Amino acid sequence: VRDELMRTMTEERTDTAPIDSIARSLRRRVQLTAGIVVAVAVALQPPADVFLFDAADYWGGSRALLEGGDVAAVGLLELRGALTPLVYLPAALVASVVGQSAAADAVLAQNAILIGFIGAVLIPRLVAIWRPTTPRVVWVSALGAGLTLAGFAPLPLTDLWGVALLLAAVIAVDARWRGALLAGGLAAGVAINLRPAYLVPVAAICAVVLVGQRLRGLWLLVGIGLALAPQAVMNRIWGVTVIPWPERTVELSSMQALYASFVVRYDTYVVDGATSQLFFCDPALAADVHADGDYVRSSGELAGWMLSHLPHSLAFTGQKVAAALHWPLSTPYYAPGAAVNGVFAGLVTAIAVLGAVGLARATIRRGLRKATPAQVAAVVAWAGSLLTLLTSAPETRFALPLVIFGIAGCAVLFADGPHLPRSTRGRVWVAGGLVAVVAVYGLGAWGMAHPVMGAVNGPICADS
Amino acid sequence: VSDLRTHDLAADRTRRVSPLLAVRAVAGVLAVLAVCLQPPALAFSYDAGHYWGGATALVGGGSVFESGLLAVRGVLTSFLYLPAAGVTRLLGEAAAGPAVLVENALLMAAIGVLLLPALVGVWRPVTPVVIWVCAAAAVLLLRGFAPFPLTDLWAAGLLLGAVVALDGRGAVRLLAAGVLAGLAFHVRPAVLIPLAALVVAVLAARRWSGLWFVAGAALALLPQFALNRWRGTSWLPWPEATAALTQVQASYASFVVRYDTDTSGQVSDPRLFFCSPRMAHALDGTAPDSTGGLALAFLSHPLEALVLSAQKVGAALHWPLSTPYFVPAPGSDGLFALLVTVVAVVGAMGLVRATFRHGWRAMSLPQAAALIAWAGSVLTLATSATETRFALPLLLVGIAGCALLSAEGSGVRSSTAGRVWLAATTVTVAVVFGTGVWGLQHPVEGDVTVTRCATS
Repeated sequence: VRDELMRTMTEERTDTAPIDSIARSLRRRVQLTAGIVVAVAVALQPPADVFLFDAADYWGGSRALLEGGDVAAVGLLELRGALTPLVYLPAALVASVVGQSAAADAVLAQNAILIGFIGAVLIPRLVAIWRPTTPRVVWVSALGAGLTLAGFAPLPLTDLWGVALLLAAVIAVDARWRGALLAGGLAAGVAINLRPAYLVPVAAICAVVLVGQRLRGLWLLVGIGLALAPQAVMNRIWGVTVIPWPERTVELSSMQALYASFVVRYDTYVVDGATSQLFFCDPALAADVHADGDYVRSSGELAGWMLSHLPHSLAFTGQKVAAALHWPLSTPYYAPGAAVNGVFAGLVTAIAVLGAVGLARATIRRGLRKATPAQVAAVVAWAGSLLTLLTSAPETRFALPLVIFGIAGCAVLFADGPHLPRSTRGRVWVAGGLVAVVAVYGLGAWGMAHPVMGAVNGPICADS
Repeated sequence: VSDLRTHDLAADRTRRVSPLLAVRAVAGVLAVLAVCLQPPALAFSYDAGHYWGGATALVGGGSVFESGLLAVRGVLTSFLYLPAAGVTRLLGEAAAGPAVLVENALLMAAIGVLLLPALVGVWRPVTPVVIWVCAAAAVLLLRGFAPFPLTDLWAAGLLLGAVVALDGRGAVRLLAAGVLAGLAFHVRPAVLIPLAALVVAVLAARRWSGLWFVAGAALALLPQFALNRWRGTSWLPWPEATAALTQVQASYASFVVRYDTDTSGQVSDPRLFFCSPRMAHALDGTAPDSTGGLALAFLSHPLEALVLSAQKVGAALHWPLSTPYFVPAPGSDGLFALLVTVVAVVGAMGLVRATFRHGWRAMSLPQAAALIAWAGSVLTLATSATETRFALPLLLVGIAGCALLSAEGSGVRSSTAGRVWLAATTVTVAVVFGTGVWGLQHPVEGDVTVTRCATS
């Protein structure tokens, strides 16, 4: 009997191998289909008429790289990472071959492919940190990415690329292959170079990996170092600074700190090509900002400012996060849209909040001690992104990581089909999640009650 | 034991039914959401303005006949957007755009998760894949229609609804099919050719009981007849000034490949005609002013007319991204036109193959009706002053065909017949797309005459 049992057991074991490979090939096929469907669906929108502000800088840098010209000046590299002109190099290459009239289409196509990749490959792989990926996980991820990110596709901005690299860094913690951590470090380093705000989540990931994996974790740091090397080299060549970020980053962050002390959200208002700045203010905090120079200039001072304005600053920080998730349909820019803006804000808020609740539950369900390093890395990356929102004058696009993690969380929740959990504890989670969605939506709407068009300072904001 | 078995069977049946219902519900909600995530229209112009005017006059008072332009539009067109108009009356003028958007999103979801899967059901059992493909394609391809109160989607839906209603036995179904077909004709008289062909097919297949279908169609036209008698203008069951419209249509149809309304705001005259200089030359300065004249013109210049008709069909499927209107967006327009052409052609070829695979004698009435409705729509395109939105029935049938293929597989890998089919389909797609591009080479802004076209 025992022999027979052993034999069936070994047979079963060998039997599962082909099943696994069938499942894998099915998943690959679903991923390919979903990726193509989402990329085509995203590409089916009017391309941008013009590239504005940052988008123009990034695009200009890419063009200057190809066609000659002062890349540093055109790409505004004293403010932007040295690698930013490389991001839209493929589209710029297509445009320079086909003609500049194809520029907007090439950018749209490049971003559509990226969104397809994020939805069909990156987010499902992120979900795999918690549970096996099924076709349904792939479809939910792809659909979520297509619905929420499509608005970014026409513009050559770096946000999507930054968040994709951040995801790659988190995924690398979970990967088994040799060199994964080095590759993850490279991705994280490039992410920082493209968007310095990712410094906080990347530092958190580093801490987790160093604690969890000891010496092996150093590969992550090596990767980050390598990815930041180009910036350091360029800085040496220009003879500006020794630290590996753009020369005027400090200036930028001190301006951010100032606005962060009284602005709930900043938007770029774009309607029919006409543009303006649009600030959503907190009049009470703005009234305390002195125009004569005695104001917040650094993250440290910002922390002191927040502490000295307790408890009001608590509501203010909550509003910041909630308002950053309150996406208008035209995100990354702001354009009025009756009713649809509210629906889209509701959708994005629900995805981000429910997804976060889902991921939190999946992580602590079997006890916090059973959480894997990759799960912890994902959680701290999420928390780091949240912290970044608090310490800046957030724009909607700064909340991208929260939305992407939210999509992954929704995929975890709906992986077994849409159904209510049977246990009481599960239902409490659902109820809590729904209440949280409503609360965050309401908080966002409340935070946006004082809009100001055009430039602001303390007094203007206080009068709004 | 038998109790146990019936119990099992019942359980099995609920298990088999409820997943489809769940899929329909989830796909439907997602479809509504996806369609609604676009800016609503700020104003309704031209036809859309008239249909909307009729609906607002119904709820807000005023002459429905005047504001709905009922001299040339069916009386029921004023009722299509009654729900949205009611909501707007309650919430204020600012709600008009969003209300129309939501109503159309619901219509599109219904088409995607109910009507099109039911059409596929004429050939094979409906599975979740069928529903998902139908819903996704409907959202992706029809989305552009959602902000505007137009009647094209309703007409195409009613026509295919008539086809689906023929799937089954009994007088009630025939009557319902007749009512739906009659309504489709009422909403868009261009449906006349497919409707007439349907009547012939139903009478041939069902003999005397086919009269129920005719009775249903007559019933649907009764309101228009009543309105005409009340106004004392005409004894016919269509709008009183239809004849004038037909004249204009016949005149343009003789040399115009496609007509578009340019809403980009970059042009002084929104009318945009793509015309055929070759046919205009052949007409030698005088366009026909009646359907008979049009037929005569086509018959006396058969070669030019054949090319023009093919170009019309190809161009009607060459949708810009901004369909139903025309706002140029070069790259994405080409991609969208290709996608629409591929779906319409591949789907139609798939349905034809599925129908004739078992010999044409095995064809059921609803299958024949679907092909007739499709062929009638092609014929309508070929003989009218076509707009992109006139091709909607072809696109809906195409989506159903693609859903059928994705559920059944095309058999391309396993059989020679499958490979022949694939080759034929690829060639047809290329030919239709190419003909469309060819037909769109001579745009004329503003009103067009035969002489102006000949020199374009």
